[in-house]
Amino acid sequence: MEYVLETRELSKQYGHFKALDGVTMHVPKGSIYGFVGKNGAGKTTLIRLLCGLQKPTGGEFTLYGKKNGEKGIAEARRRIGAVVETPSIYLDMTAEENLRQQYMILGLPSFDGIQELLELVGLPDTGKKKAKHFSLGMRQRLGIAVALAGSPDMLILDEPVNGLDPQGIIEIRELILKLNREKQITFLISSHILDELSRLATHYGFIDNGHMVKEISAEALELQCRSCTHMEVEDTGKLATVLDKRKLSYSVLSETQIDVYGKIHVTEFILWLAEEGCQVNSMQQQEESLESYYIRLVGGGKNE
Amino acid sequence: MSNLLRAGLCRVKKDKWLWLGIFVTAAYGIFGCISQYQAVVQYEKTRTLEDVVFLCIMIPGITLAASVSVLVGTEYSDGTIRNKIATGKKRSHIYLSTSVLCCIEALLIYLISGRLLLAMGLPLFGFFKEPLWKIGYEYLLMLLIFLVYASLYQMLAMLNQNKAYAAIICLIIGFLLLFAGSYLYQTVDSPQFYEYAEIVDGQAQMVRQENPYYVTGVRRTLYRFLLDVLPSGVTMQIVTGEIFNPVRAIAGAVCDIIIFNGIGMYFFQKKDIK
Repeated sequence: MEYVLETRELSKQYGHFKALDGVTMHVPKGSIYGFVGKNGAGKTTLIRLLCGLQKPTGGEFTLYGKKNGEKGIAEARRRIGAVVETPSIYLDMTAEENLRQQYMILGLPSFDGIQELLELVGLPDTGKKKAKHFSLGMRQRLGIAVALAGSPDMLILDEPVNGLDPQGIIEIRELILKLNREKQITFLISSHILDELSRLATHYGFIDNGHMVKEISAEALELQCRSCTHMEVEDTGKLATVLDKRKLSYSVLSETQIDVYGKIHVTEFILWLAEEGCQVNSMQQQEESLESYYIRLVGGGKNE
Repeated sequence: MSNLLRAGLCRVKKDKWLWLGIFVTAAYGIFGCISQYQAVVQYEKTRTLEDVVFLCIMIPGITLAASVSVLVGTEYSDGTIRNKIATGKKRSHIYLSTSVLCCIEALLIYLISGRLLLAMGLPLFGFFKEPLWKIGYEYLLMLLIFLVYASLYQMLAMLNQNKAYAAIICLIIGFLLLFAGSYLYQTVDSPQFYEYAEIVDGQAQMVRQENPYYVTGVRRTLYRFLLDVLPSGVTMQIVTGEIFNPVRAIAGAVCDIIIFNGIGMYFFQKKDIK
């Protein structure tokens, strides 16, 4: 798998406080990487390091093949756009003026494409309205438009739906999916709104207290989270035969315990097992959401 | 860096605080010019063009504090400095380009308010009485003082991420410098002895008394040095037309600009930006 961003044992310390403690992560090309963690877990700190706003106190990261500290890192950063915490826009300027500013900073030869960008983020008709009069959602979208100036290959968004109303959340989600699908832009999105992330992310990284707890693809996570029936039987071998015949996926936990994934019709299932002479001792329906998976991962109450 | 400058110049053009700064500086100078002219007309005092054209130098310590701190502080408060760093711009380039923009603001205030005062003073007071090389030197020194203030306030604003705090700190320092410069100049310029008339046995006699506030020795040397290195100290010398050490005043201003920019850039390179 090709990674556009990799960190190795990345650390950041403020005085005696370790905000990041040896974080290792891998962001695959073309993915939407959901960076999950509660407030203060270290998400924004990591993003600040990646954007060059702060320097790591330990470890390293590689962005588009360039290590931090190498000469080429500035070139690599030109391939990214970022919205860190609040949208970085001049409040006393219009949407178009903000984009013109970013175009000039990037040294783009002309202002062609500004209107298309505004249309892309849903701000084509803001005219002479200054950004300070925009709603939070409009500012967020303008922030993304500014980050998109220069056609970056990767966008880093820090809490992009924080404080947005439901309509704003949907608009930002649609925009991210559109950019990912149509322009193949890789996204690194930090959030603590798990439900929202689960609608977008293709990969996840769970961070807690400055540590990367787990990295997992959405597919693998789905496998782990999807509804399952936990069964205790006399012989898992016989049960496996039945499941294989019916092409149902399962995980054998022990000689007598097995997790069967997907929805099953209980009466029909018991009859199949009876035919094979397999005795069922207990059945338990289980379902795990991203939320409960995260809580299980980071230890729930101990982190409160 | 040219890209940063190009983008920054667009901001400078629209900077309301800059135009307010120009207005206040020019208004202060014009008010001073009218006052001096009234003194000539009403009290028959002697005033020359030199006495009025440098009046606008009293104010940039305050007006530049506001305009520079807002120009730089907006980058932090609106978060736009992050766009520059995140897209791979070098911090040294960001600092230097901001430095050029602050100097352009200072230059605009200097040129517009200076020209206005000259245009107003010429018909009222006639042409300069002092040699032109001296006037030219004083104009050059005045320009350098404007740039010193711009460098000082830029350093303070770049190292403070809170726009409001930065503006308050710059303004307080501006006022403190003004008071310090005035105090130092008055102390150094005061005579060693006072002479006054006293009636003894019905006859007036001139009595010479030592000035208790006259400073001597190391303290005097230090005060003279501070007058040449503090922008407000040089300001006082330009306004009164009495420059104690012309070479040291120029060197002091140039050193101030280099030191403020050097310190600012050094710490900005190391600064954690939120």
